[in-house]
Amino acid sequence: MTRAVKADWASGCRRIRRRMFLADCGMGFTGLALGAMLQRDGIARSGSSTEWSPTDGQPHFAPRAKRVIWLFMQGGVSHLESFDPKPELSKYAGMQINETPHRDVLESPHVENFVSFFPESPHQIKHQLYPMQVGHAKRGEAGVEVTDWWPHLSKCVDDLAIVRSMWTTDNDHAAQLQFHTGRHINQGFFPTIGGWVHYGLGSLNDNLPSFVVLGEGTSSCCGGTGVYSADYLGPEHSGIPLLADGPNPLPFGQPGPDVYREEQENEFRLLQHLHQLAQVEYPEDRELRARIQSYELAFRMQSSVPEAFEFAEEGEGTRKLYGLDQDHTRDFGELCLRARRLVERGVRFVQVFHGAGGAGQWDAHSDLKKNHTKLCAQVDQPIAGLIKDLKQRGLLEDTVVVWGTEFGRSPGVEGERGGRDHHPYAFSIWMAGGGIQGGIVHGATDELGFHAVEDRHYVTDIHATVLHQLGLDPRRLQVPGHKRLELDFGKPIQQILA
Amino acid sequence: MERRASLLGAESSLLRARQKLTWALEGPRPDEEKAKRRLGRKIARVRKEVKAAETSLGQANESYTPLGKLYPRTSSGRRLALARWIASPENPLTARVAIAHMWSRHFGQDLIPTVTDLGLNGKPPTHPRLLDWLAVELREKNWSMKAIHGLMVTSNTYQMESGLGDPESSNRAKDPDNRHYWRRKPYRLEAEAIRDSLLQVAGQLDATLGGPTIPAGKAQESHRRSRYFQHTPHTQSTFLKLFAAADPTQCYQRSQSIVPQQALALANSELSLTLARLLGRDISRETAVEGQQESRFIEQAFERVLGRLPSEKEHQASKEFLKKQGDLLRDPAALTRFEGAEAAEVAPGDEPELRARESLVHVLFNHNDLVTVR
Repeated sequence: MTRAVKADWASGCRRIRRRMFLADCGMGFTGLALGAMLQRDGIARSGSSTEWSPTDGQPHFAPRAKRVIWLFMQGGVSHLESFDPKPELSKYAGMQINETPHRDVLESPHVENFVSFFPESPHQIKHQLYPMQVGHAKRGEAGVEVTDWWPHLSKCVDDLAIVRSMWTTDNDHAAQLQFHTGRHINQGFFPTIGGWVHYGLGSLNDNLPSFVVLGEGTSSCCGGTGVYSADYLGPEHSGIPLLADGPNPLPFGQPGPDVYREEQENEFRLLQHLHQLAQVEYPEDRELRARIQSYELAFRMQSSVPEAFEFAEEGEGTRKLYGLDQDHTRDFGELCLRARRLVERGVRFVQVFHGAGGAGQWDAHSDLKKNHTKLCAQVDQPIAGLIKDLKQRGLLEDTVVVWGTEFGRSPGVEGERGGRDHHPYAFSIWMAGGGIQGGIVHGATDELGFHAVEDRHYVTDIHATVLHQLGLDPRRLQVPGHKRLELDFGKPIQQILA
Repeated sequence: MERRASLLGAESSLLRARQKLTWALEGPRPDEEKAKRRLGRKIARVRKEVKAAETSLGQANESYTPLGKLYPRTSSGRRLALARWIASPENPLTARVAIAHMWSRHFGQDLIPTVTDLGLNGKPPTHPRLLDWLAVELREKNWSMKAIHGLMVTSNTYQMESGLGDPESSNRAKDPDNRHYWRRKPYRLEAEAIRDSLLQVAGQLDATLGGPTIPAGKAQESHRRSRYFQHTPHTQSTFLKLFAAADPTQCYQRSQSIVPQQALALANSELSLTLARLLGRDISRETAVEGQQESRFIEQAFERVLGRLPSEKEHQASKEFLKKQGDLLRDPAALTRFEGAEAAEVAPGDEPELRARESLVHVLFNHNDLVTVR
């Protein structure tokens, strides 16, 4: 379809109410896609001015980034044994917190004020300090302290902005939901950061979903599909999981040889026409609208997804970079490589999960050393490979990479077998690319890594930072009837912006 | 193993006893009276031993040493007491939980926002008096779920219009989320109901009750109801999984997701193609009368698949489609086949007109109205 045709249709339809536009100007199944494209290109806006209008897919101010890769480790990575090592833990190992000079952490108002304990929660404060389970050293030119379990990522440290002062309020794994929505699960489900991005910005490629989920997500104990839902923004803005099932990345990706391509195209055209007629009757039925979009996308995904997930054209060097040649790194390496191929093709938001199963594999209540040695080895090289690869392709400049987890792990030991408990009082995340400074550490915890004490950030500050880099103002995205709290908006972490 | 050991032990003591008896009977006969009596007593004793060994062998030993702790064979009555307490009129929670779940499944909205948690962490119900009234109904109707289902689906609330109605209506502004049920929220059918509906409208549903679990991989060929397929965390039918089938480990709430993979499952699956062809042929045969055949086919197809007649515009669009698709199929040499996937069980019709009709039915299988409750 040419540009000229688009413009003609647009001018012909501009004075007509939106629903009539959909019904009468949409020709066949491409009609609605056209509507969406026109809106994204800023050619067509919704008609009446009294009507509240949703976003037009344009950033509110000049963006520094176009895309996001959001890596989420399920179960709670120890901030102490990753990006916030604490030698004091080894110094006072075996002692009760109140026997050390750092006993005041227990008096901190943060203990009572923020964390929401479930009644009878087994996750009470663990008092006996547990020594560091791994060595650490200053890495990169910036000299940022990272533990020895991250040898590959340590080489990328000059590209990372590590935030050591995160806190959250859920002391259990529904903190996974909270990390994505900004709300405790007791308050219900809300749009996730990916949903907001999808809602705020149009796609860069109409052949692929603009919000894709890779890897197995959170189980239903802890938020389930809520961790990539758009909730009240409407189902069409929710993340679309692309679970690669062996050689077939897309189940039912094509019919058999008993169907002609042209025959199928006619069917999709009629279907979209019938759906548009239904939409005249139910103009604001979001499910119907989402289904119409899903059929449009489905038609194109038949060819675009296999293409995006086909690694044949990737050289040996790239495969090695992501660790595809090793058993322990292959699974997550493939997800990271897919993430790169998707953002390269214009997908806005790729949410990648690691460590599915129960509440999350990183949940090291016992034998943290064995658990984290294994899991760090699975993700370290693939993530470092992703950053290097994005960088060498010039994609890192306008792609924000976020690495996060739901909470940290307790400075005190849990149980007899060397575990650490949940720790919502402090944890670390990092961001890279997309106008984020490299080689810096922002915020700090106390000497035991117990509380975030300097430049404290709630999870929505990460959301705000991401939206800011994409040129979006969360206040302007607010939907009538769904007033958001100050805490929901968060504040961009200015100190890490380049 | 233990039984066998005790059996062998009994056998061996029988043999030993018999041997002693033989020795006693066949051994040297003493002359002394005293010794004779002693031998007599010994023979009698050994005979007893033989008899005992025979009896014990006859009663093959069924008891064995337990591996773990043994629980009493008779009930202490505590479980029954718990069950009675759960269902007692003094405990309103049971009926409330049941109602909350049934409501969510019929209305696609929750009476209790935290339907998984009616405890201390839960949120209060949106309509507490309605919840209690329904809970009492359930109890008083002798816990008949069927009665409550009936009550819900025949209610005015259930039958409200699903559209947003008058654009000037204040309901939209006051209650955009429909918390107060001023309209009916359109609700997508569950995975199992979608697959079963396809089979049902095509007249192909095998409604056999019970029987062994069917392998998940058979969900494309089998015409049995979806609930009979293997459904575990590791093995599920892909078709059902894409429509967010029940989480095998915990299923409090179904997700009503809408993703392109669902569109592909309905558009490209062998099941949907096969059923569309069978139904297309059926309707074509049934409507094969003089004149108006095409119009009657279109009406019947809508009626059978979507449960309603087509609107004028829909009729017109379908008619144009039949012509266009028929023309297209008349010249197969100019067309490109898909490659890669398996062909469906039932091949498309040979005649271009028939194939176009099957194609129309296939389009209706993908229509929003088939998977949506309004």
